[in-house]
Amino acid sequence: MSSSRIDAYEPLRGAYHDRLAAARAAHAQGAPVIGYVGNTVPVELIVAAGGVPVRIAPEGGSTAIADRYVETVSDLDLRWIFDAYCRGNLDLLRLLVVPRSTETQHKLYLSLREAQRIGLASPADGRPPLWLYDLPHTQRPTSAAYGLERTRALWEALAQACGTACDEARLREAIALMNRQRAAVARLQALRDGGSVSGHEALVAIGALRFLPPAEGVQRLEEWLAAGGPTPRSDGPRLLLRGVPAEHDRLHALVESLGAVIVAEDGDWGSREGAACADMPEGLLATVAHHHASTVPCVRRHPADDSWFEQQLRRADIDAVLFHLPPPDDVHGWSYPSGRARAEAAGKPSLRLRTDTRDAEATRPAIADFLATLRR
Amino acid sequence: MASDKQLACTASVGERQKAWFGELRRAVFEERRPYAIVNADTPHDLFHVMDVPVVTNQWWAAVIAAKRLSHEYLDGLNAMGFHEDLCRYCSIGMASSLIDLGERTPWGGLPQASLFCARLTCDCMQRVFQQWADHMGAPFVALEAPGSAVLPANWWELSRHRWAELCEPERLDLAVTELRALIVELERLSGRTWSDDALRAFLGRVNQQEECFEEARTLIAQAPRCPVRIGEQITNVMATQWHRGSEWALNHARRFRDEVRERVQAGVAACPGERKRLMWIGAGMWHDTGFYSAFEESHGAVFTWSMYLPFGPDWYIRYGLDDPLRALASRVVTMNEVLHNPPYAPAWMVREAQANRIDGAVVLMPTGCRPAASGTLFITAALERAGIPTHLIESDMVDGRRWNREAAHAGVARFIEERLG
Repeated sequence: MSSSRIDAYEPLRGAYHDRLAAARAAHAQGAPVIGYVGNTVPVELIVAAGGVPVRIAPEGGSTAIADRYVETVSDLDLRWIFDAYCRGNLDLLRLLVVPRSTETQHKLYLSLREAQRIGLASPADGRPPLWLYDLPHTQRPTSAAYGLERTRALWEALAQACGTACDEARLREAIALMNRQRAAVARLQALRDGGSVSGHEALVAIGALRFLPPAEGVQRLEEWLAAGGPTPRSDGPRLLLRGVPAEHDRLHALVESLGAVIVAEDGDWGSREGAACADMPEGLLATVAHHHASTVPCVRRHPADDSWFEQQLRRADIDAVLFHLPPPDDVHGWSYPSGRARAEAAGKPSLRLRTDTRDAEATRPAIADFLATLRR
Repeated sequence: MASDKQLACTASVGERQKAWFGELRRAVFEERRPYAIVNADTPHDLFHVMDVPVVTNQWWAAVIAAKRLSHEYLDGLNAMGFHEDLCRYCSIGMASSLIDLGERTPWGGLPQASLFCARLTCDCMQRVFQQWADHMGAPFVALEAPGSAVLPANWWELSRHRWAELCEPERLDLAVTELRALIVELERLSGRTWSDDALRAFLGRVNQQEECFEEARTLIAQAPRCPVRIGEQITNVMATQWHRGSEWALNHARRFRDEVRERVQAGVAACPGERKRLMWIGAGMWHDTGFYSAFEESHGAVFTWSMYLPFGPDWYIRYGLDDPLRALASRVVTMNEVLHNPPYAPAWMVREAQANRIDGAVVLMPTGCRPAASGTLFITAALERAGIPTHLIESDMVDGRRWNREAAHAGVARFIEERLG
């Protein structure tokens, strides 16, 4: 990478790997920091309320407290967040918003409420208050109406937490800012689609947006794109990633170390963050609610929408599909047989990954062997 | 269940279940009678009022497990590409439709269903039910499982008379709206017209049925020695639960209560050598229900409590039926969470343990069903804080492929010997 590229990439890489750094800095300056879990909480509302949003998605942490109260079959990130909350590591937050957009998130909310109830993590001791964002993802009018009201209630709660009021003009500005961010992600994705560039760097840069104040995040991303964006790579197998969203970058790094590249991701992190938030005639709040209930990837979307996946399978430049199903997956695996069949029908070989891809050494052999078959 | 059935009413249940299912198959094949496959936490009441028979997914899963066929269906799912960590309890029914075991198919197998219904509790539910419904060419009605920030720990104090306070009113509003949409489907399927009065009368009969179980649970809790093993409690209760509100169910509930009363009055104990009282926490372990009685002879330890009997009275009874659909919605909208999750489950388990003079709790950690596993450690922590020793067993409800009975038995034996004195 050229020095200008490196200089522009470094703040993004730093934010991705020190995920609370920017939030801590904002907190130190007295800004109201609002934490959220997952990808379905409308960051626009946090920004409009005057808050500094930060996605709570640890790359690691202690589970000593969690091990006593949260089953080891639970998602590791749930246990890390629970532990961090109980320890006071999230006390910088004015509010922690937990959506009911996955079973894990719902159980996290219930676990944290119970931790409060039994005195394990008391708001009196500085633990941030919790807010359940009960946004349904069933695609029917009654669920949309319910979700709209829950979105309104969230906005009011955020405004109260930040000491402001619900202001439509500020919401309009916030939506414009987040769409500018999404447009930058879309331009990054176009580079990935059009040539051989580092998918690892792209994933990290996109992910960093969740850990930086949005205005700073989009500026950093645009500066990096202006400096050339992700490093060009020599041609190698181009892979589509589907399944459990990768909360970390180790899989992408491993794939690139083996001479291939992940060019697109079907999930929370990566490619699909560039989908624009389209205006709804019902107004700004409906626009935001609809985007997070229907457009962003979500396992609870019903009926499921595989149109993005189908579109990627039709790409001639994609060589194969990685189905990412690490333990303790009990959701995405239900879609694997049909996904594999569709990949085969599209002429794309596929690999089902069932190792913990945080462990590169455990994962390497399967990917290496698979890539070897692609090169024959 | 334990091979030596102690209650006369228990023996009649199994045959009745089989006969009912045989009649269902006949009606579907010969008369094209519509029926629905539904999850346990859906409002069966609406189906019963509209005379649309239901096969409960979890009941069918238990039938498969009891017939020792789980491994064949689950191995078959694995061979189809569904990996081994996927939920078994809620999917083995689907497996029985996808995989043909020929003459070994339980009771001839599930006939073609006309409707599927499930609450979207865990994230896999729509995936399992949609695939199952697509296989049978039937519609799938999904009910929302909205979250609640109103979490009353002592929920049993509200459920009968103050059920509107169990959750936010907007949650109930959504549930009622969805139940009305389901009713439209049932009208289409059955050709009948819905009546709120019919539901009101039906829920009144459900109340009567559960009041019988209320009497039975109190008799069992207060008896000097446990009069009825949990295996027989479960058999009698769940058979009526799947047919609740029917004349048969109400009569059977009365019969069960009366027989329990007789046994208590006669001083009859399920285990005459009772020395320790255990509670079984979690769903049934349907692939090895004999496990519940495995410690009577050796240790005088009898399982006196499982959730199945007391949950009916505490959760299903609804008084104040001016708006019967709203009352039913209040039962549906939080049911799954109350059974497994904090704060509901830990608080209730402690209350039940104390009321039943429990010496120790054996807690199922269902590793094959993460939604059911979630909350287990909060339950054990609450019991231990209340002075009730606990012991965890890892097993799936229906998948016995990794079940090591000897090791599990040894673990419980040690627990009884070392922690219960």
